[in-house]
Amino acid sequence: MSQLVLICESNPESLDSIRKILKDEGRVVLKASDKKEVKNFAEDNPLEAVILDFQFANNSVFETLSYLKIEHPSTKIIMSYSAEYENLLSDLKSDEEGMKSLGVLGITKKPYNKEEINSLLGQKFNVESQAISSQEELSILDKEFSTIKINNFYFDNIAIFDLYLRISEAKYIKVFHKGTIFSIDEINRYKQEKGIDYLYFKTNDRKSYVSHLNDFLEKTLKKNNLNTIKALKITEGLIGNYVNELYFQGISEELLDEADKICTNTYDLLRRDRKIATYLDDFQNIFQEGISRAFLTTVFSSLIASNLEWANRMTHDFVVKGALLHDLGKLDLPENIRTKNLNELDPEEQAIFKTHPEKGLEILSTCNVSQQVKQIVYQHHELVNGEGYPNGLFGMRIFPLAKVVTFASDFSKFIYQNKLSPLDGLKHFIPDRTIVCRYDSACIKAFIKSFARSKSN
Amino acid sequence: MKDQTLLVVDDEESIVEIIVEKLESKVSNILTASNGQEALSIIISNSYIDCVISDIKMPVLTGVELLKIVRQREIEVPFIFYSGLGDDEIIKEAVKHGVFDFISKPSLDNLQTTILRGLSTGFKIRKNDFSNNDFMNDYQKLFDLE
Repeated sequence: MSQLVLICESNPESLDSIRKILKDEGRVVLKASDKKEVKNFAEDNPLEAVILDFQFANNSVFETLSYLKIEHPSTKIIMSYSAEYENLLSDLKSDEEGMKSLGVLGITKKPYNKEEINSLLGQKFNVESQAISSQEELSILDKEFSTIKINNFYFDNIAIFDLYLRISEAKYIKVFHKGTIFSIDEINRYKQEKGIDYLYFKTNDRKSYVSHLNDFLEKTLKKNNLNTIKALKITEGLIGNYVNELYFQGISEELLDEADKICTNTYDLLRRDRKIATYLDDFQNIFQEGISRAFLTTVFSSLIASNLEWANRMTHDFVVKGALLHDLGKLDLPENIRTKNLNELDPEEQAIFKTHPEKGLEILSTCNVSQQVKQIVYQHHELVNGEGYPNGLFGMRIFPLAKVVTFASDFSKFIYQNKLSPLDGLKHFIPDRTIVCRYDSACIKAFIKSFARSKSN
Repeated sequence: MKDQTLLVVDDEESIVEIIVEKLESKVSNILTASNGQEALSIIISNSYIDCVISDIKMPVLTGVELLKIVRQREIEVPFIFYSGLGDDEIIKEAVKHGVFDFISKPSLDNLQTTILRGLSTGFKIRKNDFSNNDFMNDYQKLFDLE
C-alpha cells in the first residue's frame, strides 16, 4: 500500500508539525495549496491519505471533500481543525454516520498529535462496495444488452448505469445499481471466481457510456505520465461504442456534442504522444480482443489531417467528425444490404448500397453540422481516378477533406480484412498502381509521414 | 508574396470590401465582380485566376451556374462558396462540378486560411506542379529502400 500522504494545511506552523509526524513514520509527504493542486496530486499519485484542514484554501474544504469522496473514495481523509472551530466540529467527532456521509475517516483537533494521527492512519478504511447481495434472476432479452469486457472496464468507482452478469440466454442478474460505489476488486473477483469475462449493461444506457468514456479519456490525457496504450484502448472503446450508438439510435444533438469531444480528445492524444503511429502498427498485439474498424478509420484520418501541410486544427476536427459520421447513410439502407460489403451484393443491391452517401447527406441536412462534414459524408466514396460514386468526380473536383476519409476508410478496411499491420499494408498498397491511383497523393504522403515521424521520435 | 490572383464574386459590396480588406496584404492581385456573368467574363479573358470565392445566390448568373459553365470549359480553378443555412440542395448540385471549400455565412470563419489554401492549389494547377505530393521518396525512406 502506498505511503503517500497529501497535506492540505495553510498554517505554516501546523504544516511543519504534521509534516514531521508523517515523515518520522516513514511516509512520503506532498503538500497542496488549493483544490486544483489536490486534484492534480490525487490524479497522478496513489494516495494513502489526505490530511485536510477545515480552513484549507479559503474555505474550500467541503468542495475538496466532495471531490475526494466521489473521485477517490478509497483514500483515507482525516479532517483537522483549530480551537476556534471546536463548537462546530467536536460533535462531528463522535458522529460516525455524519463522518461517513462526508467521506471522512476521522477528525483531529490541532495541534497535531502523533499518536492520534498514527492511530487514524492505521485504521482500515473500506470502500463500501454496494454490490447487490440478492442475486435475483431477471428474464430480459439478450438484444437489450451491450457488453463490456472486464479487461476493458474503464470506470471511476461509481457505476454510471446498472451492471449485470449474464447467466444464460435471456437470463441476467443485476450486480450493481446505477450511482452506487463499487470496487474494481469485486469485479475482478467475478472474473476469477466465476470465470466471467464480460459485464452487461442495457443498450439504452450506451449513450451514457459514450459520454463517460469521453470524460474518462479527457482526464487520462491530462495526467502527467500518460499511459498511451491505455489511452488508445479507451479511445477504441469510445469510438466503437459511439458508432454503434449512432447505428442504434440515429443522429442526435447529444451524439454530435460527443463527436466534438472525440475530435478534441483525438487531437490531444496525438499531441501528447508523437509515437501513436508506432503503437497502431502493433495494434493486433495491443488489441487482442479485437478492434473496431471505425476506430482505425477515425485515428488514421486524424493522423493524416495532422500531417497535411495545409491543414489546421479546424480542418482536423472536420475530418475526424466526418470520419465518425461517414457511413451514417447506411442507417437508411435495408438491413440485408447494410451489413454487407459491396462485392457481396448483386447489381440491384449494389445500386441501393451506393445511395448511402446521399442518404447520409439527407440525414445531416436537418442537423447543426458544418458543410465540410456534410461533404465528407457525401463524397467519401469518390475516387481520384473518377471511378467512385455517387457522382464519379475526379481529382481536383473532389472535396479535399473527403479524400482524407476515403483513403483512411479504404486502407483500414484493407488491413482489417487481410490482418495486416499498417506498415505491412503500405507495402502491399503503394507498389500497386491500380490501387494507389484511386487516392489523393497528398493524403498518402501525410499518412506515410505520420509513421516516419513516429519512428524517428 | 507569390504572383497569385483571387477573384471575389458577390452582389453585396460590403462583403466584397471585407474580403478584400482581409486578403490584400497576403494576395498580390484581387479582382472583383458583382454577379456571375461579370465573373465569367473575367475568368474567360484571364487565364491566371488562381481561386474564385463566390456567393451562391446572385442576379444575372448564380454562383452554381457560373461554376457549371467554367467546368464545361474545362477550367479547374478552385471555387470556394459562402454557404448559409438552407443552401444544402443548391450545394449538392454545386459539388457535382467540384467545390474546393465552403465559408459559413455570416461568420466567414477561417476565411483567410481557406482562400490562401485555394490560391496555393490553383497556382499548382496553373503551373501543373504537384511534385510536393510525391510520396515515393518518403515511402522509400520509411522502409530503407533507398
